Amino acid sequence: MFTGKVKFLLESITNNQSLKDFLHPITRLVFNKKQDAYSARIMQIRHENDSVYTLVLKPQKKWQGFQAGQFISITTEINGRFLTRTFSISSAPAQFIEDRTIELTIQKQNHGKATPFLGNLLKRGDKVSISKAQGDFVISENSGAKLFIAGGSGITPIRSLIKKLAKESQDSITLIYYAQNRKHLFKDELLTLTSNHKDIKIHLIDSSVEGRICKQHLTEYCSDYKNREVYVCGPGSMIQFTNDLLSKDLPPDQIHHEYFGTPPTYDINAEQQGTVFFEKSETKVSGLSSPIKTLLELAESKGLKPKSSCRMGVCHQCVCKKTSGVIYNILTKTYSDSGAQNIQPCVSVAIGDVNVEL
Amino acid sequence: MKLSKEKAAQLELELNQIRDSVVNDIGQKDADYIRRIIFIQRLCEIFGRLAFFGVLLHPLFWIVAVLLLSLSKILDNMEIGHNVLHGQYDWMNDPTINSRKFEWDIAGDAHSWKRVHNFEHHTFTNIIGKDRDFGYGLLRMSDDLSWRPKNRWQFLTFLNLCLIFEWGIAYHELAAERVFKGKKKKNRVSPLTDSQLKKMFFSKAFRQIFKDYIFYPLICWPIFLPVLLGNIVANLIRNLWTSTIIFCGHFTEGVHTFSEEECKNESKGQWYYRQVLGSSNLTGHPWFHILTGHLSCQIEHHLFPDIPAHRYVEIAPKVQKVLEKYQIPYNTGGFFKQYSTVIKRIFKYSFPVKTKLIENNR
Repeated sequence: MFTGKVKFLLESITNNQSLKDFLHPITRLVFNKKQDAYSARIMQIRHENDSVYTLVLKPQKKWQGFQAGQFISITTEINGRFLTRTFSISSAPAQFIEDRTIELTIQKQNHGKATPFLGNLLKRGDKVSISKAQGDFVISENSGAKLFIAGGSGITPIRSLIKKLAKESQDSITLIYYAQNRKHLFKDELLTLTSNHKDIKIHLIDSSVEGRICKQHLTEYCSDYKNREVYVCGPGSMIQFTNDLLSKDLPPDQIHHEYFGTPPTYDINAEQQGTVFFEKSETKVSGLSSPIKTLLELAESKGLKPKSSCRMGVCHQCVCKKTSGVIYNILTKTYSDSGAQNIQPCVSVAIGDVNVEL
Repeated sequence: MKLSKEKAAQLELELNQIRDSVVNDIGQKDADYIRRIIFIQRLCEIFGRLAFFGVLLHPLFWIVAVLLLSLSKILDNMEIGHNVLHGQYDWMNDPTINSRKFEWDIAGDAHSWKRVHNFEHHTFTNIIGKDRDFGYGLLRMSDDLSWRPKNRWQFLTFLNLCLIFEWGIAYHELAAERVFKGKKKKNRVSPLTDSQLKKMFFSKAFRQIFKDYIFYPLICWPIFLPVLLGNIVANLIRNLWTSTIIFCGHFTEGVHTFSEEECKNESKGQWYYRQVLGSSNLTGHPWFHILTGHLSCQIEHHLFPDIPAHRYVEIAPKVQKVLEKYQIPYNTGGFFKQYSTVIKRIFKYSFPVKTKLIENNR
């Protein structure tokens, strides 16, 4: 009751949602930090190979910590635009307890708007905004044998999970790690884990030679996989494929997986569209239509009634939040990036799968 | 006056080029610019409100306080509010500087204003019967509207409207939807019900009255009266300024009006053409442009309502050059020249003079 009144008072006298927002244009000059986020300092930028780098971050004291396997979003300003990207934490919780640092391992996306630049624009000592840790790709029970299957940069949350388990449990751990051209990340570090633990097996597989996962690989590298909790992380198609393979032998609650967001795809035509998911109304609609439909038209075709007026990109009545996926703006003839941002659905066409807050 | 289809298509192409040149260049400097203006506005508001305490030392502080507070409100409404609500800074992805979240220091609700202004006024600019901003349903500003006895004293109506302009804006949508009086119009479909509109109107109105006329005077108790009076005067100054600038944008002498019929199925090029003929510019110092929220570049604003407004000044010469090529009039001039033609227009249409008579007089 009382806080409600204070909130009303502050909203009325500041015309902002909080006093903090009202003062932010002034305080930002001192604290340089985004609203509703935690700040973190860059301690080190480590290049793992020519297309992957690791940011070592030290979050402010208020940050609550994380469980192995979780992810955070990190926000930076690039040329006046706030860009938000989500990354799995690749370091172990023990490292955070020891020196309050976490690591994000980032693969540079071709034509991406953030990942190629983050590593170059940021330098030691810079401050970025991060969210609290989220995600349920975590281990509920330390005991019991585990199988991890990683594809490419999908190793990041699994590195965190394995390092935690290696320290806290003596039960069997097997990792099958697929990467093209033997570009396995953290190779040396993973192999040293085996010397400190009585039952860790690391299988680094070159997928350009041995192909993707199959039943033969499973039986060869982890013959008792049916008795293990399985954790899968990698590109979307790899997870789907692995899931299909495993679900023949394993009940679904024994398989855990973590999807990475779809990377931006800039080389396809505006004609190609994917599935659009309207989150608030929990409606899914296939964007494959001819003639092309804008997000607004798609929403309306499903009976949704989003706010809209001019339908030509002038009035900004219909602006809503796109939470993930790439859209093509038919007015400005530009592609968006894949993170969360405000869009005008009346002039936006979905490229690939898109989630919209409508 | 009409533009041929081919010419309209060429015009569209050339104006799009100007638009693209700005859009491709939008970035850090635009973000820095709007943040700097917001920073200045916040300082003006905070120091303006604090300066009232100076009256305990010297009465002149009251004037300083009122001027700072007026400046804060003018910046908030014009260069920040109007432009942010147009979505000019949505690309920044900033949690507060965007057209969905922004709320301004004025009696009217931001969302209501967006519905009427961004949509009706900017899409149907100066189409009689569709753009309610043309005379606000109070003033007869062209012979397209039939004369009514109340138009005889419309200059006084105009003066009153200027003084309470923020309330006119606040009430604008409710008047259009005939929420309190009048017969509902059949062709209007509102996304909100009457009770939602009423609730929104009273909620924002109450907040503003509470803030300026109850809360601040009360917490400054020993100087209750100077603060109350100062807030009233600051709001009046802002009202006068904003209404004056806005009238100069659409009601100067050469501004054209259009009928629904002639705008049916118009192309984007023809839409551009109508936007130019329906608007007029003001010339002046960079500071003058900022205080008008760059509505001094009304023509450029109506062509490209969603590019950061401080860019209008740099594209104005290019736009003028293109329009000259197509022999489309570019209505611009100094403040006093333009404003005097607005006053003239208000008087001219106060009387039921037939168009024929005017032409004979020429």
